[in-house]
Amino acid sequence: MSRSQLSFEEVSTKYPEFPRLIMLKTDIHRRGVFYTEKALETVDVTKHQLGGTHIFGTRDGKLTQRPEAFILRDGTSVLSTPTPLEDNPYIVDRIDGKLVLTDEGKVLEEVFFWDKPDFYDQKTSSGALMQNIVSARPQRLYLIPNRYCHFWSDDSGCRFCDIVNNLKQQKDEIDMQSKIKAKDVKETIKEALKEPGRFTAICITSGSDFHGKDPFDKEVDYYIEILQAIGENFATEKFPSQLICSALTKEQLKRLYDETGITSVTMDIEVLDERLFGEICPGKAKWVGYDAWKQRLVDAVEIFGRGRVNTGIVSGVELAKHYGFTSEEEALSATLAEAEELASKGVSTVNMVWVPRPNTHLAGQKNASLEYYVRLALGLQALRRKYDLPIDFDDYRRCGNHPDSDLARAF
Amino acid sequence: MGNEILNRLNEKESVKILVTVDENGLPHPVVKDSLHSDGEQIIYTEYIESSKTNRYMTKSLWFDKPVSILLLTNDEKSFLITVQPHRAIVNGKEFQKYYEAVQKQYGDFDLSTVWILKPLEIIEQSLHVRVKEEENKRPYFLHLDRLAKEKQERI
Repeated sequence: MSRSQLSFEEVSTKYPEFPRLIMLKTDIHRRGVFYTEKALETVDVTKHQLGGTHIFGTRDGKLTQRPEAFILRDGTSVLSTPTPLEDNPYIVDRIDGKLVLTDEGKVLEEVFFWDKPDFYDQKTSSGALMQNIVSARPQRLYLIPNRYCHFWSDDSGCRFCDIVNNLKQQKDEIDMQSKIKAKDVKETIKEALKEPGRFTAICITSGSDFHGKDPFDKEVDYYIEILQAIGENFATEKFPSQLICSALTKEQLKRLYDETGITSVTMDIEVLDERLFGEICPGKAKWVGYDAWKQRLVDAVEIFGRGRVNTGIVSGVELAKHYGFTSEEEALSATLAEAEELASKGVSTVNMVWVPRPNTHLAGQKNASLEYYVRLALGLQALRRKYDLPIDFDDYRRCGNHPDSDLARAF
Repeated sequence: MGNEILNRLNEKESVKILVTVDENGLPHPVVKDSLHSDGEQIIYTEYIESSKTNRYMTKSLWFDKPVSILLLTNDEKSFLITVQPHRAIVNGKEFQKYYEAVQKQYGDFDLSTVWILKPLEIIEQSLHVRVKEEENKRPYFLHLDRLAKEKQERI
């Protein structure tokens, strides 16, 4: 922590209206987590969900045989990857028979590993391991039909992203395929739905694919194929679901809405500043552009409705060295102003804490201060209240990766 | 096993009212039949995710603000139980156990949260108990005519 940054206790005192548990989660996302040997000894591979299938890599570069993540006692999911000790992460330890989170030797909270879904070790009729077809969060089924992002074909992928390097590692270590088959998806979802009270939503995301008659047509065709395979398992035309995709045109979104059971859409703009968007997301800038990205989000509201469209930002990346704002005050003000413009048109913004991962262009950098993330989360949730935008499809339960939408359950 | 009063939450005839507090400090009382106890902690299953009670319970857990339970038993005793929401179970095998029980009881019905509450204080509020308590501890709080010789002789 730099001298100018407030400590956790100082931020907590300064913002008493911000829940401590969500502040803790936010700080764990910032700093990462380290599992002690004693904590890892409590992992039961038959009961607990292990990592490895996530779209992004870990902070320490290791993939498997550790817990996917954990839950706090308010039900909040903490999605944080193992982090080297020298980076000063929070510690998950086992003390007096309990799994606890500690910092500087002080026990902060009891934590709970994610339970493994029943379908995880089963295989489809083609022999594919179901957890490699559909992964899970505590209540969300998560599909990544295409793990390759074509922006990386000419090195124009997002500067903070390690999707392709992670895929290489997943292929080597756990035989992960870059694409999945619709039949395997249908069978896996069918099996997952047999577990009562387990899942509340389905989320699909992929790397961008700009191929096709119109850019991204190929990406859309593939989503439709996969979503229709999922839909065969439901008695209803629509099912609670979220598609995280490239910024698609109105026609492409209409096709998706009309031909599948999808109910909400997320098109991640990553950073809410035109110049930084160009620098940090060169592929997105080249194939869509900043203003067009925003317009397509607004267009999506016409199709999916208010409270069913949002965009994600990798918060803190707007302060990245050599690219970003030089002061947090300026970054916060610019980000919230852009988020307000979108909110006024029915588009919600959610933030993910930027994790400078090793295999990225921005490796080795530091993310923003805890106070910055607290103010950003408060600001984004305040905008949703001001413009009456529900975020049910991307809240603490359906997703769990956005400190700002974690607040929506009570604010 | 456990606390006898807490166990009375499990009696079918008992009336159980959960009182949370809204943003303006106003009490929000709701009858909650699902409140029960294992003798040490109190468990309550919330069926509606968007309910005001669920929201206020979340805030109580987040900001360490206790909530109240009013228990009325079939022998006309009443108890005020002050509790601290400690844990919200919203997923996993433990949650699924409750979810299946709810479905068994009500058919096609959903479950939002299993709340684990830690009792902080239990006060019996039955009228005869409270009257006796006041007479013993606050002797100035009664009318003198009740102590008059004539009246006492009549009693």
